[in-house]
This record gives sequence, C-alpha cells and structure tokens, in this order.
Amino acid sequence: MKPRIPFEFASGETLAPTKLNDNFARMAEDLEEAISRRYSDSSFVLDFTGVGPGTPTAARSYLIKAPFAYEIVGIEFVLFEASATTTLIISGTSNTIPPLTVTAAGATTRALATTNAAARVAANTEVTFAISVLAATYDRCYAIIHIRHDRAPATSYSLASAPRFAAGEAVAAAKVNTAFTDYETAVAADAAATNAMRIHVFPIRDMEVALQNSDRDCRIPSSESRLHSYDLVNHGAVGDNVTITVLDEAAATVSTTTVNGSGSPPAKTQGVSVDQTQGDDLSGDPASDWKLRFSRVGAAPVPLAYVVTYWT
Amino acid sequence: MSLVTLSGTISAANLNNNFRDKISALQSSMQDSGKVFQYDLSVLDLISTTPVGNRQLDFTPQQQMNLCVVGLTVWAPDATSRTTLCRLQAIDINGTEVPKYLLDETVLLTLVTSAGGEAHATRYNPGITPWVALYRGVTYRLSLEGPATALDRAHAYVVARTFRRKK
Repeated sequence: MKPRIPFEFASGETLAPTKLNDNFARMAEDLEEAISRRYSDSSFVLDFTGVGPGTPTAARSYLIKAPFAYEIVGIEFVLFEASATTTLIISGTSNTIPPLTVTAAGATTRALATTNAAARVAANTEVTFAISVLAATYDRCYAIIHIRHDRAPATSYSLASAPRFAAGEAVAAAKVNTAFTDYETAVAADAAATNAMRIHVFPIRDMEVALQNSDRDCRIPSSESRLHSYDLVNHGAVGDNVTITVLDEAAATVSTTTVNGSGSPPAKTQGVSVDQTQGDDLSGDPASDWKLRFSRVGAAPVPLAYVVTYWT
Repeated sequence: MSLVTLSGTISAANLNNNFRDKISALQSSMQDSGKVFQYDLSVLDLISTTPVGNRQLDFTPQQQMNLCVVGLTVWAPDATSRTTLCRLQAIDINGTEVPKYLLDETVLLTLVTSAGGEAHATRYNPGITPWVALYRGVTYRLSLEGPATALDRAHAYVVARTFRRKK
C-alpha cells in the first residue's frame, strides 16, 4: 500500500481551506492505516534429520528463546522413513500445543502432519521443540514452525488528529506548522516501532572433529535486516568447544561467541546482543551476503551445535 | 526534502514541499514494513542418488509472501565437472507440480562447477521473471538434484518477504 498523492497548490492561488483540510485528512487516514498494520508472518525450520535412538536425549530438541513475544500459528512436521512414528512435543508456550505425531509412509514418501493449534510465547521465554518415540534413525525429519509477530502500535494518529480550517478562515502559518510537526512526530514514532521479528536456525549435527570449510557456513543474503541477537547451543563434551562467527558483507566479524562443551546438559549462551543492520537490500550481489560460520576445537564429534538468530 | 517552516504569506511551493515531504516519509516507513526471512535446505555429500527426502524441503506459507531470492551454494571437492540443479515449485498434496501457483514457472537454478571449492548461483527478484508471489495455503517445494559425482555439500535457500498486515 502507498499513501495517496496530496493535492498541489499553485502560486498565487487563494489558499482554500477545503483543499488544505482534504490533504491533512488523507494523510491522517493513510498514517492510521499504516499504524493499524501490526502483524507480520514468518517461519523457521527445525531439522531433525539423522536423529535416532542413539542420539542423546537433549540433542533431539531445539531451544528457542526469542527476545520478543510471538505466536506459533501453525506447524508442518515431515518424515521420510521406512516405518516409524515420531511426535513433536513443544513446551514453554503460554498455552499448550498438543503433541503432533507423524507416521512414516516409506523411505521415499513424504509423511506429513500439520496443526494450526496456536500458542503465545512471551518475550525471553525458552521454548523446547523436541521429538520423541524414536524407533529408527530418521532418514529425513524436519518441522516448519510458522509464527506471527505483533509489534503493537507505538503511537496513535487518526482523522481527529488532523487540523481543520474553517471556510473563510485566515489560515495562520503557525497552525499549519504545528499540524506538520505533529504529523512528522507520529510518522517517526511509527517508523521507529519494533519491526517484524524473525527467527532463523542454523544447525550442524554430528559436527566432525575436522570441520570442513564446506560444512561450516550458512549464507544470509543482505536485506537491510537488523540482527538483534543470537543464541549458541553446544551439545559437545567437555573440551569440544564450538564458536559461531557472524560475518558481514565485507567478510568482517560482526560478532563471535564460543560455547565450551559441557556434555549433559548442553552448554549454551543465549541473547548475545548484536544490533547491527545489513548494508544491502537484496541488490542481487551475492558478494554482499552475510555468513554464519562455525568453527570448533576438541577431540570428539559434537552431536549437535546450532545458532538461533533473531532479526528485525 | 525536509519540512519548511511557514510564515507570513504562505508560499504554495513551501506548502507543496511540506506535504510531499511527509507523504514521502510515510511511504518509506510503509515500504520498510516488508521484512524477509529464509528457508534453508542443506545436504552433505549431495549426489544424483541422494534419497529424494534428503534433498527437498516443503513449506506452506501462512500468509502471502513475495519471492525475493532463490539461491544455491555448492562446495566441490575437486575439478571434476558437476552440474547441480535447484528448483522451486508449487505442489499439490500428492507432491505433483502445480505450475499455475508460480505463474506457470518452475524457478530453476543450474550450477555447473569445474573447480574445487565454493561456487554460487542466485536468482533475485526482479531477476526472477515474471515477479511471483508465494500464496497462502499453497505448498512449495525447494529441491536439489545432485551431480553424478558427489559434492561436499549443497545449500539451497529461499528468501521471501512479508508485509505487516491487520489482524
């Protein structure tokens, strides 16, 4: 949606209050419309491929602790497996989403379970997404979590906020100036309000001791999105330490965090603040992409390491 | 542009400037309401015989989105020539392609590598022609087709943009 084009005034024209009123009224209606658009939708993927009976229990789950409140509005749960049943269990939400069970339809046939059971998640609340009932090592298993974010209006402005000039009124410059300034303040408040928050998860399962360059990166196209913060979780044993480095369009380090392995329960660092905006709005140049890059030390494979990034 | 303080006899030019300035600011704010997010499909050791389930990702938007980028990065172990395909298709419940939900297109990336290391291909909107939306309730499939000789890894991704909406 775009705001409407204002009426133009001609030099020497007698300033008509009607035209002035209509312009301010249009602007007020369009701003009120913009303020009322507060919900945004996105998704994130949780990959459970390769999880099996030998997977440590903790490594069968993901922890998501967003710095903002959101709603889960739908889930797609997919399994490729010869014959098995698995259940996705979600805990930590304000209201309960019933466990979602998918029954395998064959190693090369997609089995799908979906739910539109909704749940609210309060800000800074850890939610656990776990799969259970493992009869086999899953050839392929993942969940798409659909969420909605409510940014809540940061200001209010309506038709009642717009000035009115009476017919025959001598239009005072001061009154017009005040109207423009009030409008400018409201637009600025709306623009500055917390924008759509999104979640992205980049996991590496069974991270090898000698992590290959080919396996370590996740490319994030630059879209002028702001990286708010991230969590790093390491399911490795003591001595198997994992590092995540966020690289910007110049391949410079935006942020880096190391989590030392602790075995059970897994080690984690949550809420690493970044607050940096990407520089390029999908201009078409992959050289401007950001990257999430894993590295590690230690003597044993890490069952699961993942970074959860939170964007606005 | 920026606001001009009016005084005395109001200038038409200044009045027009101020209205255009505030409309422009609102428009920028509205356009900025569109934010992107990403679906990823990562496959280690991708080869032509990789099981189908391991090289595809299905997703069903809960609201209409604008398709912005389809991308493919591969890592090849050596200079053997390899061709990797990445597709984005609209599908029905049986997995059959329904092209009309992508304006009768299959978004296709073909990446041929003849050197070891990292290689990349993307299609950016409006480079994706014609410009497409991903519709609410329609399932889309991001899939990979591997070469005859294995890659170290392939990473395909879809970047989509949604705009703020009323309830």
